[in-house]
Amino acid sequence: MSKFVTGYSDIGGELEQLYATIMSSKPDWASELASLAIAVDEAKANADPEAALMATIKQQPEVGHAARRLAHVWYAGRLSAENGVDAAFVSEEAYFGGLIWRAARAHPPGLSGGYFGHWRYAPDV
Amino acid sequence: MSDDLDRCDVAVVGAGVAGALIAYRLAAANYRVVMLEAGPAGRNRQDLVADYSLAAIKTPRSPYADNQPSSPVWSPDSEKDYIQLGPSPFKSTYLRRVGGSTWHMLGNMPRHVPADFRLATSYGVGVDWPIDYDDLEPWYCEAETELGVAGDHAELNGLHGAYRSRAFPMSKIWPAYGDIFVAKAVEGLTFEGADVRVLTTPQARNSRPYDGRPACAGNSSCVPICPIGAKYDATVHVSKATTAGAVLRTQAVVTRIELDSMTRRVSALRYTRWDEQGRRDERRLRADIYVIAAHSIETPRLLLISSDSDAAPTGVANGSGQVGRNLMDHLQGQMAAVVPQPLFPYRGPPTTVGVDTFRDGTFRASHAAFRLSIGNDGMGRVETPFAALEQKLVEGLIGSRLRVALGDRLIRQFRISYSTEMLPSAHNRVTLADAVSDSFGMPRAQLSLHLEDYNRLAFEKAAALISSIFDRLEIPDSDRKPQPKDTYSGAGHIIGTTRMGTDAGSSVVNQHCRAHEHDNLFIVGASTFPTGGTANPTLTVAALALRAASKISSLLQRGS
Repeated sequence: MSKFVTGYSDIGGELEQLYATIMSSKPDWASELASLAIAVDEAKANADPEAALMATIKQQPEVGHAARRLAHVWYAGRLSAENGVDAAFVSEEAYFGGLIWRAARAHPPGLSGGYFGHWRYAPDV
Repeated sequence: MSDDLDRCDVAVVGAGVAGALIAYRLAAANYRVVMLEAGPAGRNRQDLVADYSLAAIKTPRSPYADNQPSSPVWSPDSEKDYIQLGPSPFKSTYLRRVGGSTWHMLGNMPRHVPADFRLATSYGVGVDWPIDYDDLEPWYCEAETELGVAGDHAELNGLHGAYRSRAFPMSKIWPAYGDIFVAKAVEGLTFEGADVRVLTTPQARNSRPYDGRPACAGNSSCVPICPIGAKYDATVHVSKATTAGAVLRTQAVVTRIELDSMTRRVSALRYTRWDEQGRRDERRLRADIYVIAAHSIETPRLLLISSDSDAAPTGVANGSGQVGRNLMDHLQGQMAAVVPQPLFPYRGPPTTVGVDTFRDGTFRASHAAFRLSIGNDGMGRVETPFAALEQKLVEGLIGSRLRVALGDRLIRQFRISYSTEMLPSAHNRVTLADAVSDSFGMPRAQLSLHLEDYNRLAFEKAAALISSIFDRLEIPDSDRKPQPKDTYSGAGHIIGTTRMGTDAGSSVVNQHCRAHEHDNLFIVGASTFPTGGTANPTLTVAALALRAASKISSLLQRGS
């Protein structure tokens, strides 16, 4: 489900387990996650599964809540802001592993993994 | 040297860049030096980076748990942390810890240009410095070597008359992909009759291994912390000072400068050592020479707190009434945009190039000089990557559509910021909030600031220049995010408050940073700048500190 919602097929590991716990940490969140699981299964039967899920999200708010929550935590490494207050990052690994930096073809501030001058060139991937 | 020493040759208050350089130079010359630092030495760099990674908002203070409000030396992290008398807010902050605010500085190291030292003579505004560019040039070279500044000598030699007698110790930090694109796009552009050229920015971050520190790996978190120490911070010279024999006393808050009522010389520093268990230990340190290097808010605060009915009724070194006055910053703004072409930001230092064209010119008679920084960090505060993510989720995107749309937005985010010079003004100032004390019973500082037309007009000019650059980049108006009128942010450049000058009636220290009224007292740091120019202040702070160290050394040799 995480791979489907984020668009990244190579994610998993400890973060997936951590986020699974968070996604079910409240009764209504767990319920919404179950709805999302059903919606994802149904969407996969379509020619364009993503488009099908996006259509379901528009029609079923509880599916949308869970899909946005799951995508957000994977991309940002934390949950959405609430009442204008930014959420804390789930863990150091969650911050550094945020997919947002992969989407930007960059790296999380504080950990480039690069060499001097790599920023001079377009990213490799 | 014994740590329980209560007498030394030189006592230094503050272990930031100015204090550390002086301590290092004098300890290396075999003088007995004691540094008193209000803040802690702190934990190792990796732990600080871990705290940074967890912080919900990556503010300048975010990695430094021991400077948070629970600490007796908590440091301001936003304008809300000051007592502000207005009418305009002062927005720049500082850090009370070993290494000082260099921990969270960006690291740009431009020199002042010659006219910056002659603003009154050249343009009829502000004041002149008691020294000129020629006086400071050799010390700029020394400072660039000490801090480790990477730069392009040929490109910057002679900028607005700022000749360079020595090459940088390291070749330049390479411009980013987007910088190269923008530089090419603005080729041939003129603005108000001047050529708009993109120049590389000299920076105190290593372009090769230097002074035992690694080359910059482009971690992009210079503010608030370099995770690998490739960017200079003053712990480098604190360490060199202690290796040379200086004593560093951390968690040692100076509460009073004591004066001899007959000679008006400083006779001792009273200070309190504190620990995390709440213990306090009152002590006194005597020296031949005293150096106050506590940055531009804590320094005047200490001088004013130390008023003495006999020797200094309005505060130490304040016979001119100038202590605390002329508080300045470089007031900043930015224009952000989504560029048609990918620029691939969020890689490398947050800025590596800028436009220095308008750092000097006859226009300074009517509006502020300014410098543009070409950003390499997306849209800055205007739209963070997290805000872009929220927007794409609100749009209902998911899966590969989310990944592609978000990525397409992020790789085209862009900003150019401008940084403007403030004029010195007596009513922009630091005073004591007598009714509000810190945990040591000392009155807190309160700040007054007035936004002047001199800056407002520069904001407009800078915005117009950026618009002309955006035109070259063919950015549609709908994708431009201008700075709201008359708003600004702080540059983190806290300047003024103990200015230097030749006249004891209108300045606090002389050209060597020596107090006019107390001949064994030196005051160093950006607080001594009579005007602010448009250069990030740290290199000039370092150059003046090295120059003051030389003067102190000669005084000690003469036994005076």
